[in-house]
Amino acid sequence: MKKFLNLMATNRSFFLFIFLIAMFLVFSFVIPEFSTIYNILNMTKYGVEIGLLAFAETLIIISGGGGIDLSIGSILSLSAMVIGVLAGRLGMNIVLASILGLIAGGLCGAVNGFFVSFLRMPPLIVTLSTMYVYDSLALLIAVDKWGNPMPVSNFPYGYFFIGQQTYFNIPFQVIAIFIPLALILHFLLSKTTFGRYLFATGNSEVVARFSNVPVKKIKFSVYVIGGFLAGLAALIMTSRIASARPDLGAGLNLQAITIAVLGGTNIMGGEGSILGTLMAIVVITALYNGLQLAGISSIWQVGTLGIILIGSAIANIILSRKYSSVE
Amino acid sequence: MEPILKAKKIVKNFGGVKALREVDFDLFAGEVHALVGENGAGKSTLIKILTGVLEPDSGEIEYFGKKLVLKSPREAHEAGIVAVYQEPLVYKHLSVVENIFLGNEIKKKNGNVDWQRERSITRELLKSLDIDPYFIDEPMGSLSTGLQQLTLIAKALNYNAKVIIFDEPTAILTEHEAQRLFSIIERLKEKGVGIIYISHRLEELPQIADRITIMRDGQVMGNFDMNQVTREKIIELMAGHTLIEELKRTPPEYTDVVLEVRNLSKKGMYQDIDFKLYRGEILGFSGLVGAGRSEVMQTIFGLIKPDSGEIIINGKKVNVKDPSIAMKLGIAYIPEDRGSQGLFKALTINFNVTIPIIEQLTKFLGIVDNSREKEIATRYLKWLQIKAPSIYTLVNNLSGGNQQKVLIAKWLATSPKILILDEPTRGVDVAVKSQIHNEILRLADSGISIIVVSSELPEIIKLSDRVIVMHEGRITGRFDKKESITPTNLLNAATGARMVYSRD
Repeated sequence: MKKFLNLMATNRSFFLFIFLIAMFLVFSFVIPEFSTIYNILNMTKYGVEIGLLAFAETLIIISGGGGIDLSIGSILSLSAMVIGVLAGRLGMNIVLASILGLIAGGLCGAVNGFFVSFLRMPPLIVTLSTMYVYDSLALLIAVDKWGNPMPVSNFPYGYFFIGQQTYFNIPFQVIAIFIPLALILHFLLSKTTFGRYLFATGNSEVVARFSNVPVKKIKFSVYVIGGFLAGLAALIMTSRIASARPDLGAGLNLQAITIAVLGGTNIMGGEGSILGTLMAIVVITALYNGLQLAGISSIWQVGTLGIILIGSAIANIILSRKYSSVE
Repeated sequence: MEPILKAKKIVKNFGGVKALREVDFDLFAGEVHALVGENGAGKSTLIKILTGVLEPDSGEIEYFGKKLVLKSPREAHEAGIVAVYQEPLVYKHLSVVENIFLGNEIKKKNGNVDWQRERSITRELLKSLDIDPYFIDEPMGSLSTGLQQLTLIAKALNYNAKVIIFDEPTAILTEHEAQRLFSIIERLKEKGVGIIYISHRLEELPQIADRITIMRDGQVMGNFDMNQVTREKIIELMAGHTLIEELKRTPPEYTDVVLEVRNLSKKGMYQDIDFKLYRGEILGFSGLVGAGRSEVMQTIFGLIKPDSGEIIINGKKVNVKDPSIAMKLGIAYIPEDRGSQGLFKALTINFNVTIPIIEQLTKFLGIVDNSREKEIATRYLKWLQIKAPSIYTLVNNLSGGNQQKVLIAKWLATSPKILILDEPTRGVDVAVKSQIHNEILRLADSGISIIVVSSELPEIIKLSDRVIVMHEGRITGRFDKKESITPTNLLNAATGARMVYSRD
């Protein structure tokens, strides 16, 4: 038992896993349709987009020095509008439009990365500013010929498989995009030199500089990767809801950060894992789904997110005071 | 006349380290009493006790004939004992007036701050020190360091200070500012203030000090009237009969120059640095803390960009823009500050040792070859006898000595040709220290060229084949013969005597 509690205190992924099981049991007991295979598989698709953003924040926050991206949802909005306008209004080939949408996301990230890494500006200031700029740009390109920013929905039919197709009830974007990407990112962080450099930079920029770590490149690249992930989330989301709106990413900035932090990413940098963030995504997705099935108003969703975050932080503090032992 | 301040048999231990052993010290009203000694002699500890920052283990302080027990800096302040440090502790965004009256504001009846009175008192304070008070409404941060110091002196006077302690006040002042400070110290003496003056600039002491106390190893080595002691005598007492271990070491053949530095300068850090490093030699860099030695080394390692000068490696002029280039050239730099520069303390030994060479340990696609990594980390763990349960132990959980070994392992793993060690044994116990020394010698024997930067004379003297001494950013001594590398010679150069040379 002591060992179990010790693991709970020191390993965030394990903690979230136990939490998830407990939540599953409660929801299954209260709501019969919750634990059906159909529901479980179906709910996964709602975790994909916010999940990609949370992965982006995980990398960016680990890079340290106050690393954070407040513009991640705005990049999603902008990328979505790029795809929507190019394909829906200008009639560009959808594949090409999608690629350009991804590139737009990467470019937005590169702008953030440039200011943060090469001009050494505080990430909070940079991404707070670009958040507004990207939001405006998304609105700007959404403007139709009558002068109003409007959603675009006339995507070609072939586009929808990304966000709406399922295989044996498993959504396409989960099996073909999200899971492989989670594996790649996990691999990148835990097995490669990039991962080593990222944790080194996040732990201490000075020591990293003294240790021949290409600090600037690393900081720049996490923002670029973050932008790409937001672009990818935009692609999936526009396909799933068959519409591109300039406010798609509204409210997702902070949710993504919250999930990353819930997953054990240290807001001071240098600590975090893809597995932890993944567990947090699963917990939050299941929670939202359970609340919805229980007939609780969706107004409560973000409220519970906040409660879970602070609750898990408190539980963690109590557990680690009592049970974590220094080896 | 009785002294105003008298410290009697002060003892202070930090763990096993005896910082002060029955130190006596006294100060009269209206005198300047200089306090000198090498780094670690116990000056700072004594000052901290006199200003209430530390409490002594035993011994007592007498102040105006009464026993004084200080529990906090604030109590010392209120008693009239004030310290002015080298880097003035000021609130940069507040004005001069606000700084002077912070925590001691003059209030009107309605509770508002009486700015008019505060400002007029500030003006008078500054005028009484012969300073034109034109700047009292400026934010403190916009003043020069010298003026900031003066403001703090004014503040001390406002507290009715009877004892003012100056801790290396001139180290970062210009010549002009230093002269102004001296004339102000004269004014303070006239007011009957007692002054304790700590400085490494021995040459300035005859000008301002009345008496001098010399400390070494936590003891008072001598107390003299300033005009009755020579510079030589002071140095001799500071150096003492330092115990130097003799080593059997065949001196290197001075044939291949691996590194040459020519006229290297960086404003505010160092000037006209010139030296050669030969294959297989140990070159010591001696001097006081802040002499600019670390900055020169960090320049060679590509962390600081010099204003002018050349770095030549194996006969080729190189431009070391960043550490990765330095590493490719075979240079390794082990910084003095383990915590903030050297090691990732929250990460494992394994991570720390292999991070500089991680790119060489990949299979493909940047994937780290864990077995090779483990092999390297384990090898150094054994070689340097690092005491840790495994290579996956967090550095934080190791003792200081073992952390230092991890830091050395980290850079040995890069197979350097030139190894620069900055204070390699600071905060390390005696056993580990001699182990590290043996390691350094073994590396030099294997043909690696080594630069040792150290503020500890015994360490420099024990290890070095040749020694270069720096003082305030300049080279002030070069000693090429083992016989000439003596504590007295090194201290003479380190405290800013004229250029000292000894060459065959």
